Amino acid sequence: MTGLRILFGLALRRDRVMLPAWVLGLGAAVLVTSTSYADLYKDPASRREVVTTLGETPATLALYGRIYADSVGGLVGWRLGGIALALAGLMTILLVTRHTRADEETGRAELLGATVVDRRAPLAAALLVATTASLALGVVVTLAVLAAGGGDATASALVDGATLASAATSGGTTLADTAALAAATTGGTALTDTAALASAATTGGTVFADGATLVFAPAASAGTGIDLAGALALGATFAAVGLAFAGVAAVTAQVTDSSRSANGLAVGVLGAAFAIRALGDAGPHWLSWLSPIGWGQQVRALAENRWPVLLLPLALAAILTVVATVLHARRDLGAGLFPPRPGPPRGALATPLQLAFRLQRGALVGWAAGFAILGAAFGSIAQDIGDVIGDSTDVKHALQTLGGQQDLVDAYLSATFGILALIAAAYAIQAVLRLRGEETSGRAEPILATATSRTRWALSHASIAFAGVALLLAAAGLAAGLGHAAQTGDANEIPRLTAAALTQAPAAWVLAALALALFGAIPKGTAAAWGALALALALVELGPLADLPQTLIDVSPFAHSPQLPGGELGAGPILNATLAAGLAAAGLYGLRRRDLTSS
Amino acid sequence: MFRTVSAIAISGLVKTFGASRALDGLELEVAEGEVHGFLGPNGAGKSTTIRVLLGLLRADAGSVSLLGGDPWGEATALHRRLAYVPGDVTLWPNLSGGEVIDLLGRLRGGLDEERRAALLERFELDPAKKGRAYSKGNRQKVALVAAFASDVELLILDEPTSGLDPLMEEVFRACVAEERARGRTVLLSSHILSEVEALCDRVTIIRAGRTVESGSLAELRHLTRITIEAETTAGPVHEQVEPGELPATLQRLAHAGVTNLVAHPPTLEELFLRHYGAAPEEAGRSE
Repeated sequence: MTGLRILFGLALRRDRVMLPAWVLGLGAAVLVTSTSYADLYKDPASRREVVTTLGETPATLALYGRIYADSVGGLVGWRLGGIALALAGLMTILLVTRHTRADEETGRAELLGATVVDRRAPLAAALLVATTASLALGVVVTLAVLAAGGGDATASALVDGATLASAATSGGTTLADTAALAAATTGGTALTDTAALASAATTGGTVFADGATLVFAPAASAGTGIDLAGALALGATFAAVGLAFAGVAAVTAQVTDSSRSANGLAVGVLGAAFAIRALGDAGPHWLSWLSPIGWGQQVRALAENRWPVLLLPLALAAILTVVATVLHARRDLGAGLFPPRPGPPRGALATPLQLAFRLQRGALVGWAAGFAILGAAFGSIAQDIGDVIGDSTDVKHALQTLGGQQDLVDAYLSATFGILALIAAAYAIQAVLRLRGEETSGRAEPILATATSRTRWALSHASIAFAGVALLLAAAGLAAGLGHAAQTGDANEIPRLTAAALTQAPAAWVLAALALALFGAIPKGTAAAWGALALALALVELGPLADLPQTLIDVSPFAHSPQLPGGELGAGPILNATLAAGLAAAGLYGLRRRDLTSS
Repeated sequence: MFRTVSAIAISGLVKTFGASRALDGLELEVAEGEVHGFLGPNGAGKSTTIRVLLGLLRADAGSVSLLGGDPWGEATALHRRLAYVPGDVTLWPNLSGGEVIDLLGRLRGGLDEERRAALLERFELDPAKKGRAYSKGNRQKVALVAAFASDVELLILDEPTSGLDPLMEEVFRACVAEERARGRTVLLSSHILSEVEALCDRVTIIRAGRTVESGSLAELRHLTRITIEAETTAGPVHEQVEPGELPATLQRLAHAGVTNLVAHPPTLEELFLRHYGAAPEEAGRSE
């Protein structure tokens, strides 16, 4: 295919940071999970306990799926089979859209299409990049699992390699706690998965061990159930699921007419696939067979290694590639499958704030719905937490350290809200940085050439970010309250949990305000806001478990959030709100004094 | 009270971006009520000057006055009195053209409904289309309609006709002529010379961040040579002469047996070429 090689090279060059960050970030998350599992569940009795508790609770079944072997490998495969697989799908979706619909939208495809390249070459190059990423992820996952299964020496070397160096000295307990927590609570799920996301979003290897410097230990230690075949099966599962969703994105890129909606539709399919397998694992099992993520789990890597099942995602990828190619051949460059709908000939927008709200409305609604669903899920299983954890004192201890509470359910909810606040901060950062996008795209210029001051323009997007954080947390708190109240029959839980969730908002505001300060003062360095989020995440979530010095932990605004419900309100929220106001003011001051970047 | 006669007065303007000096002592004077052409090749600093005038960039040195005020310090107040059309209009992909026109109009402090409707008609623009569906020319029209329909003293137009077809260019020229008739000031940055020649009272030509020529078209022509196009028995003649050389030239042509003769003042095209069309080494020497 003429031009394919050049386009593939161009795509790899454009993705030289993003692609390794995804692969190594996901690899690092896999490594941390499997390392800590290998350490935590050495004892067969502890594994059986997991199987009989988590393996039979509908909530955890829905989140992770079913457990197919009670070896360490079996648990690792189980734990990585749900959300981590979904993240592999997310990676290829974003990659494919970026090199297909996004290029058409910006006109880059037109520029390239006028040169000597085959009409199908851009789509083929995008799929080739996604294939490369999927295979690389498969290799990294295989290596990470093997390294984790290689025994204690490897495991502790890896821990040293991570920034959790201090944890290594105190033996396996800190990691054990982390892992137990992750296994025992859905709050922990969000924790590790947020970590995976955050590290994937930044430089990949910063928080955890550097995936590239893995100590490769091929020895399959007896009893762990981690062997080469199993590790390869898990790696192949990640690659195959990644490929299947690359196919999904290749089709949605043909159907829609913007990269935003192409991504949205494909991520919707991903979410549906996850939800279908969640229902299948918790209820009628045949449903799992309708979902590409379910297929990945049915490979049962590190347990039964059912290789033929891999043919299902691969066949789907092949079929979707053909569908995408056919659709692509039938449409014009830049057009979607359906003609664009006209908009209103008259506008109602009259202020910068109305414009900002209009631009951010869709994203905010999506995030709020996600928070409500998470809140409802966490809230409705809160009451089960005590039963799930059973007699595991390690887990109780870890959870109480994180939540700072004696009352286990409150501790769980408080930890959950803390994690939701971190995710809300991610929302707020991207909402604030919309300002930078408007600036560099040239769309800010006509607005600022009207009687709109820079301060007013910046505040329009920033205030949506700040109010959005409160809205997301209120949605999660309200939904958690409803879910918890349905379990306990106590309607007072609704206002109690809504208020508790809202007290977490000021910490997220600090990061939003930091993004605004960077935008105002160092516009080229706005990505540092994401780095700060990753750091805050590492400090608050891993700090108490890893016995880091309190002064270091206190750097994070999230360390000053009250541990509610159950704890004291304290001055933390006020301090955080004040800090946020100061950072925001600094950002606005900087913005008034600097040149605007023009397109 | 002292009355400002200059809508725009720039003197000694310097703007650097890192090591590169985008504006290097630029001068620009635009009188109230005139249509002023702002000419220069790509990268000469036209858009940078306009961004300084809009308070989007801060001047490093020199004085800049816009409608009697400081464009950096009083940007918001001054922007009430002007409308701006960028050279490359980017729209929000999911907002319709009509929504953007109304938004920009309201943000400027009001829109003339009748003019809005008339302009949509004249520019043949469908306001119901979404931003992502517009061609470059249509995006340009959205910004033009929003600017011409607002009630302002000054229009700053940065290569506003890029992407417009010739028919729409005619509509644009008519609109600018109407603005002039209503006493508004227009700063028209362009490198379409016929457009500037047809529309502008005075012209400033810049190059590499410096003003190289400024004045009315008549003044500029006065400074320059006369173009002679003639047919003689010895063959065609095409040359440019200083006004003082004219008698000698005519004698020479008469001797050569002239059969046809056209003498005209230089077009702006020729003025422009004198400054930018020169061979590189010649241009280098003039610096």
